[in-house]
Amino acid sequence: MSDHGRTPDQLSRVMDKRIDRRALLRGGATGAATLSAAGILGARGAHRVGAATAQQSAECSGEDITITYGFWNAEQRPAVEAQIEAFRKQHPNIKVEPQVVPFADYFTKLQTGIAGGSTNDVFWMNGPNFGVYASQGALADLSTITGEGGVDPAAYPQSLIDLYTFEDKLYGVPRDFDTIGLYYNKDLFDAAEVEYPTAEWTWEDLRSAAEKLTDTERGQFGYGSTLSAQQNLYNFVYQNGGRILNEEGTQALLAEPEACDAIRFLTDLMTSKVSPDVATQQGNNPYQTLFPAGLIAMMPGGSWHAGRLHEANPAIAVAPLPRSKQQASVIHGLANVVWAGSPHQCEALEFVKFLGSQEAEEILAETATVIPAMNGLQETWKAAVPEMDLQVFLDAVDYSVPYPTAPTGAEWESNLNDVIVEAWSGGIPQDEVCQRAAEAVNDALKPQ
Amino acid sequence: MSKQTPAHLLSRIALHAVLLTVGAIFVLPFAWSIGTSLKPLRDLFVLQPRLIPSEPRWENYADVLNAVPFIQFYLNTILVTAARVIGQVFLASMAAFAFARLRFPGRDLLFFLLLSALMIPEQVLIIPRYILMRELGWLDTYQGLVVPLLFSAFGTFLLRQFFLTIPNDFQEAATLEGANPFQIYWQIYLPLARPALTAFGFLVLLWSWNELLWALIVTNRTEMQVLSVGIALFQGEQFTNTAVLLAAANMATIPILIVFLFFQRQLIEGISLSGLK
Amino acid sequence: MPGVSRQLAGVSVMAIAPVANEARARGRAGPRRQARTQALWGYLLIGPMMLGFAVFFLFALIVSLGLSFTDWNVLASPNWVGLDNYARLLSDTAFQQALRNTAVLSVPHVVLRIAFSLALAIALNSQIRFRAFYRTIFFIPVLTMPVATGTVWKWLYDPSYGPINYALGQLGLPRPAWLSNPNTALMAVVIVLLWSGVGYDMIIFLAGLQNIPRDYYEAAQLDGAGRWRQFRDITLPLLTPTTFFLVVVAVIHSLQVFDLVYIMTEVEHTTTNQFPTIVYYIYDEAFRNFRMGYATTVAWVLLILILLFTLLQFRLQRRWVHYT
Repeated sequence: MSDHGRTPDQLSRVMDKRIDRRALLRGGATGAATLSAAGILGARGAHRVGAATAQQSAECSGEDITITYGFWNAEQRPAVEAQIEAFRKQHPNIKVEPQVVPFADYFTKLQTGIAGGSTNDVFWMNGPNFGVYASQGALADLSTITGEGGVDPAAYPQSLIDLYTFEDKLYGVPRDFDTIGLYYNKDLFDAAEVEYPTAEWTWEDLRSAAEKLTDTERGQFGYGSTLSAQQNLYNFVYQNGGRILNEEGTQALLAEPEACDAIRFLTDLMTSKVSPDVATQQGNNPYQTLFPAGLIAMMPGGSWHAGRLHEANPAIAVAPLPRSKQQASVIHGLANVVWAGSPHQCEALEFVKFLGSQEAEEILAETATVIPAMNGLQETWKAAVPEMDLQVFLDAVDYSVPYPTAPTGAEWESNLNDVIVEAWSGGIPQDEVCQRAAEAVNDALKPQ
Repeated sequence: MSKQTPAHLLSRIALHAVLLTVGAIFVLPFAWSIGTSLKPLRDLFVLQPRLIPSEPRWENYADVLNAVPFIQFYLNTILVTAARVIGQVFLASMAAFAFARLRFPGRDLLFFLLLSALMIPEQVLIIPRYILMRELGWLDTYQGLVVPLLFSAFGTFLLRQFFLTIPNDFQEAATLEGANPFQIYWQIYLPLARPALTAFGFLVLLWSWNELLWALIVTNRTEMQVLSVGIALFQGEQFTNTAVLLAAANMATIPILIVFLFFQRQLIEGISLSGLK
Repeated sequence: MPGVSRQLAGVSVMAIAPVANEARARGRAGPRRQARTQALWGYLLIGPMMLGFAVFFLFALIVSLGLSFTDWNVLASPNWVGLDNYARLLSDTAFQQALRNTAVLSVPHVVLRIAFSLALAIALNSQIRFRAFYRTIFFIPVLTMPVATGTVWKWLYDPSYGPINYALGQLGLPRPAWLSNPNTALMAVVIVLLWSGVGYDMIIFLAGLQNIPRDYYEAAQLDGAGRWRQFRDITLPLLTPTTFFLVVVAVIHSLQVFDLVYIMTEVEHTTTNQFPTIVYYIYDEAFRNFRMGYATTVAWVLLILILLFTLLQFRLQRRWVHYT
């Protein structure tokens, strides 16, 4: 079994983390034996945990080695291949094989691979899944490739670095990012003689404009209150000085007054029918139909919508999200991570180090398809749709808050979503919504 | 044989009316998938999508071919499907014959055990199977794609039911003549069961053509991937161009449809030639 | 019908003549020895199937049973938790809801599926014009890729702008929010299942119908039996083995509904648990909520439930299924 120079001390630390006392008392050994007997998870289980890479990462063997790089967006293949080619020039002995997996099945396959002891050496990670992979020891600690001559965390927005930091260690190098803005349809504003949104808008401005822009007869809504919390609810909570989860991601803070006011504000908008209802949104993705078709006047949305919204309806422009106590926008981005069980740790880390370099990020910038994570490389993306003020999304970095993530996975988000859907359909009394939301989230966060 | 009375004629017309109405409902989603596959992006952003694209965009099909090695996926799918069809039909029919027509201790228990394969969701079996594949060194190989899926409890059950409908006289007569069970299976039951075998083989073909989960798990390299995985790649994380997605799906489906159009007589009708008329 | 069996016997003798000659040369065995050889042949013929079944299925099944006694989260090593998962199952309301949803979905699915596919098969087995055309049409959904099926139906069900509700509105009928209301979501899923499955069963019924000897009908006509009596006394009884098979498979199929619900109820990657079926729940627990240990427990309980149900069906079949 390959252990890559892991010291006994490191191994025992790893084991401590794995097996809790309760299990040991109850005969965890019996269970493990059953499973090893069946040929599963026994020995292999141990070697994928822990991130003992400090010793060997300085010098790679120099042998000819092939590592694999997993990602989920087929449209990004040209950029990925260009990056691989540039890396190959620096490291002629390391071959990187790109492997694209459909997004819908990406994490199912990744989990199967990790459990089965064979998966990609380097792969894409996202915010909602990061917490659980990092806390369960599936990812390699990147501290050996950060700092002098390696990845410079200061070159990225701090909130992105925070997103991929777990217990003070960095496990992912940011690749790209997105922030949220307020898209609006100029034609509808002009017709209703309402002033366009500005950076100074407050929630009250948003509400009164939304009411003026709602025209039930025409089937027109003032505000598209999307079910996607990343693009809607979370931002409002942060603007009001609230939080979704506590620092460790172990408890919901949704019942606190700041967060609760945000939930109520949006529930109000929904029940007063200035937004299309939940059923309509479920049948019909508003970003693709209602909004570009001119039946929604304003809609919060991620930077990734910009190009397609403009193509679908040139009257759509963008402004910063409104503010309450402060300005805030959720920031999220993908990161490149290394599998802790990779038999080619050193080469994998070397590749991720390259992906975090100026050169690799410039290749990404040239495609103008996503916003590169590294500071100062955003101009080409911005220029791709010159008619829209895309600077809004770049300015948002300054007041951005990382996407909330918990070490138990994303179950809490679907629980929250269930409560929100019910509340927005009028199924929960206003004064119970926040409590119910917090309980539902805590339900998923408590250790099982 | 049938008399052309007015009442008879009327009932025929009524039958056609019903069949046409139901048929229209069956065809509409397919027609929509053809229509949408030719739509330019702007047609996807309208509230009430129309069946006919505002202006057909044939490039959607070219986009599919440019984005993924579709031809390679085709070849892989054909190869894998052919192996699965032949293997499943042979193995299932042989076992089905034994379960239907031979007596041996534990027969019903074993049959039932086999049926349990149909009853547990494959999602919880994936990881152990994946480990098995890794140990065998079958990840990213054709045998990894084919062999684990050769053993069809469904097929065994289906063919057993058909064998049970074949009159016993055949077997009795042959046994009296001293033929061994394999000979009875091979020379009597297989030819007699051709309708069922053809029907089953075609169902295996369809299932295999669309099979996604296992193909996705057991293959990593692009050269080894199949059509269903290639199509799933067109579903994006943040945005899916439905037109291109359906273009890819149509490109995968239409060859099968043509096969069916040409061979449906043989498949369903021709079947009866070898039956027990 | 003596004429029929005489003819069948005639056919059989012809068909096996070469086999018989060959076999006769090897002499005959006593009855007990014969039974033993037959058993041997039985094991031999099911051997390859059972071997593959053991390696690729039984192995995984046993491992999953072991995992059902652990807290395995897929990423880290499992810990033994004894019967905790099974105890949890008893008080898990989400599991009960998923089980109820699945049961409620199964009944109309199975009944309507059998009824529709049998009706279609009978209609298209007659000497009707254009039957090749019709058969192709009804089979088209079976050929459609699941991705396309989900995408297309999601649009058809769109509550505000979809064609189904447009038609209902024109007729002055209520326009339900198909996929977001748990009651209609059920019906919506059943409709899609029927749409994509009826053609499949129709083919199997057609093959079954073709297998019924024509002489039976001719003999019945000579006896003066009408169409309905022919259907009741010949078609239905002789189709029962096929029907039995299709019922069992349809039941199992409805208990395993998954992809469709997954595709149709997701919005912008925010998932809702409004209408989980049992397999959806298992998938969620295993891969989204990182509770593979618990998911295998649910899967095993499901296995046992289906097994009992199938056993019951096999018991009951003796009352209604006719084998020759």
